[in-house]
Amino acid sequence: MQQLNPSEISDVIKNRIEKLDVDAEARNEGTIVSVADGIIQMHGLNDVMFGEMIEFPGDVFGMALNLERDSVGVVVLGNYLSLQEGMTGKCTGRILEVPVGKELVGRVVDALGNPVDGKGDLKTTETDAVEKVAPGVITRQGVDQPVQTGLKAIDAMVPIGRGQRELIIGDRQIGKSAIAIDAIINQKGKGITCVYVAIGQKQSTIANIVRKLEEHGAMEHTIVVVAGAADPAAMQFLAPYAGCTMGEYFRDRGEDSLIVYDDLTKQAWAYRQISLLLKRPPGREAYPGDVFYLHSRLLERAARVNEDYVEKFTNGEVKGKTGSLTALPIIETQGGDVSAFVPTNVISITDGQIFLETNLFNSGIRPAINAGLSVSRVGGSAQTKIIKKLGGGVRLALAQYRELAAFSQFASDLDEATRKQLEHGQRVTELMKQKQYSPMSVSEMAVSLYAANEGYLNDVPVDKVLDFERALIEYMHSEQSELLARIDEKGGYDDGIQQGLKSGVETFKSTQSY
Amino acid sequence: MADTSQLARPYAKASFDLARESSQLDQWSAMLATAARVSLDKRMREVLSDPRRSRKDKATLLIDVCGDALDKHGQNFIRVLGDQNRLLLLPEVAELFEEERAGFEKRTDVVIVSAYPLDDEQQNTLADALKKRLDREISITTRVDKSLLAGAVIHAGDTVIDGSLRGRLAKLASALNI
Repeated sequence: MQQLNPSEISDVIKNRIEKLDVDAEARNEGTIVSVADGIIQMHGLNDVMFGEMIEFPGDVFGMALNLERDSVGVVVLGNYLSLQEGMTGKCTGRILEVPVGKELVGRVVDALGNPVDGKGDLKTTETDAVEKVAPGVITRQGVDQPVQTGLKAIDAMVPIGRGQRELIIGDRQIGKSAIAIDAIINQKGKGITCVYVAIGQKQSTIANIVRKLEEHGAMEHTIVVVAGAADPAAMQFLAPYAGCTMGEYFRDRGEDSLIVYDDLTKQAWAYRQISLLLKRPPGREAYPGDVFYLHSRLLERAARVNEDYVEKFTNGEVKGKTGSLTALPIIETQGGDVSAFVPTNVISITDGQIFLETNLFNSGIRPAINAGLSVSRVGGSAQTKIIKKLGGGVRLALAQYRELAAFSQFASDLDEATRKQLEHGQRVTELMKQKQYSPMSVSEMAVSLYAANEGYLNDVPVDKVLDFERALIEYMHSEQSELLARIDEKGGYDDGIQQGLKSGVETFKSTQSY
Repeated sequence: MADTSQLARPYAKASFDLARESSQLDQWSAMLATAARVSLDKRMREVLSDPRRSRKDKATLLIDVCGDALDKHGQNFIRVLGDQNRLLLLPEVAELFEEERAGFEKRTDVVIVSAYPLDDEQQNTLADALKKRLDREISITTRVDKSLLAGAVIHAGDTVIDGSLRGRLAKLASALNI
């Protein structure tokens, strides 16, 4: 027997029939002249708008991207195999829109907002344009609240603020996505809605990521937008914009959201393909002339907006709240070459980058963050007070360590001070390692950073540092849970907290083993 | 290769401007139509695309074949086309000329496809309404297509007004996600 769909309830059908407007409609029509590689050349369509949706027979849609004197270039969104020369296409009078709203949270959708997770209809009521203009200068506010990624190395050295764009860059298979996924998992219960946009990835990889997010309970605050490697280039090109629109929904309503574009290199490739097929002239690395604008207009939409903007946007419903959309774009480099076209572009657009290195990854330092090249241009003012206070030494220690380590390879015997610094550097490097899917809270980070800063690690063997840390944090959780709760709540640093940490670490060292 | 209509447009525009200034639109229409038809002839096409013949020869041949149909200006036009080796574009030029003319005279060809044959009264009502809506002179051609079930579809240039039952049913179907 055939199954009845949830959308087949008679009330729903009745509603739809009532809402339907069946008046005769005047529409602009054109004829397909050629179909090739997902690009359609059309004749006619005199009144078409740039970016307008074009409807083809069989519920296939396209987007007008090239408006020329005698023809219109349309990219097909979806399967174009049913289209033939001579068929007609109609203007719809709409530019591309995707569904938005809270109903999307927990769902996996494609670049057009159609669910692909087999969990039925979306039940969203609103849609919004995919391409929008970023908020202007007047409506913006400085970044001063942190996004905790839960990774010591990032939160201590390259802090990210709400509304910031922080690039994650590095070669393939080096843990770029892992950082982003950890950041998403750590937002559980923190009121930040996450959007993960997977562009040009294997379906199996995407399935794995969704499963991991589900396992860690992160799908409850996450929307996944998928344009896989097998999807048409047009979908891969559109997916980031679609995801951004879904994230903006929360930003504009005075909430916080985080979006991960994984990765923008593939989007640039897809856009390059579309542009070349549309016969736009190729430039450097065969990318079209507007590949910078492709990314800048996308990343500009990640912003912190002020209370006035939110109030105006919601017509006074939400008052006294700022909204933010934080972006974590990912760029894959080839052989560590950050001076290629797309990496340099995105580096210059974003407010800092997290630079991952193959050497570090291979020598077991994971996340493989290069502390010297990674920067955060605005996150410092958003960093939690206690992490800022305690984490300041980490960067310095690592910088000195790197310099001395290179130098000390030639020297056989070193003076006491240098040796100490080297040893401290080794331990801090060791401490910055962190397992995947195990984000740390602010208080846990504070404890381990305090121990490193105050030299409590100096008599711990290097290969025992992580064991020491784990045991210390466990001990603090059982003995000093009140102190940790206080740190998590306020994030401040005062004498009381310092005393608490000091006595905690000292008792641990004198009474416990690791 | 550039679009052929891109190449033909300047010629069509030039001939149209000339025709309008000397108010010889009808004559020019006829001349271009004849020349286009001649150039579409299979044997003529062979000659015109033969690289061994000089451009001048081709133009002279075409003019000779057209004979009295071309006046002095018409012959000159063919020679200019011949000089640029664009004689094969004549059909496009003629078509674009007619387009220019229709735009200038505010004239539109309208095709009305209906499920049942229209009587004169219906046709007149439609013609009046369309004239008002499009703000142009119209010439109507009608066609019957039973598959529309009821109502009519009006094609006026690129604009299509779908008032057929089939169109409405299709809309209903897409609204119900069938």
